[in-house]
Amino acid sequence: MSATASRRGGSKPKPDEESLDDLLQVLVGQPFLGVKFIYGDELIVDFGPGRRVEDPVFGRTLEPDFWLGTLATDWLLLSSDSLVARSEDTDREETARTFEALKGSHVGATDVRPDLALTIAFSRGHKLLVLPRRAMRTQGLPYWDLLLPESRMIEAGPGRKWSVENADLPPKERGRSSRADGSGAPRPSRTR
Amino acid sequence: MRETDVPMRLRRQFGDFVEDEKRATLGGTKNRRGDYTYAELRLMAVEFRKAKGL
Repeated sequence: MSATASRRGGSKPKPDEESLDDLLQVLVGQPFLGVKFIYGDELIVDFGPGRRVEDPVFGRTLEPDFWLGTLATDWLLLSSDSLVARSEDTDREETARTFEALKGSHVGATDVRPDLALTIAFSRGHKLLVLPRRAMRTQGLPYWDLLLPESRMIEAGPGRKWSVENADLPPKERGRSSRADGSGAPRPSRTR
Repeated sequence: MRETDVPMRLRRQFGDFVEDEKRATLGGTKNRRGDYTYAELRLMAVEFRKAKGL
């Protein structure tokens, strides 16, 4: 499905401007690396082979090449169209174990609807659905974000707006740079 | 977590930092479960940045 969600900062896309569908293609072929729940019960999904880095706080860690943050948005995990996990599940350890079944698979396809509902289909039949609810529009917060290489990120929502941002900037500064005139977002580049 | 104004690239690690802190201490004062108030999270974000050398 082709997304008609609009890029933040302007309603008329430039002829050479990549769509959100185009940008999400960078995930296709990336291996599933793992999941974690961080404070606030946010599900984080890691992709890519990852790379070992030395960190002053955590020591030697495996950093994913891409990661998806679901923020406060509902999500579902399907296996062959059967529900196997969802955001309402309260046992986070058990839920994380359910995601272990995705190890060894890779992203087969991505799909984003105009309302920015996101589907990531994995090669072994699993699908992750991130489903913004209408009520979230009024809260003014993004629905999900995706960290890309080179400190870029996609920020999706609220409403039908999305943007490519600098992932090194705090959210308050991102808001000022991209929402005021649409020129703050770095030019995306494809990295397959 | 957004209220702490931590850049997205560091949010994943900051989440771990908060969880580690909660396990190592009595946690925050928001409720009896030891969750943190926004003010506490903002302070932890300052500590996190210092620890990261930022």
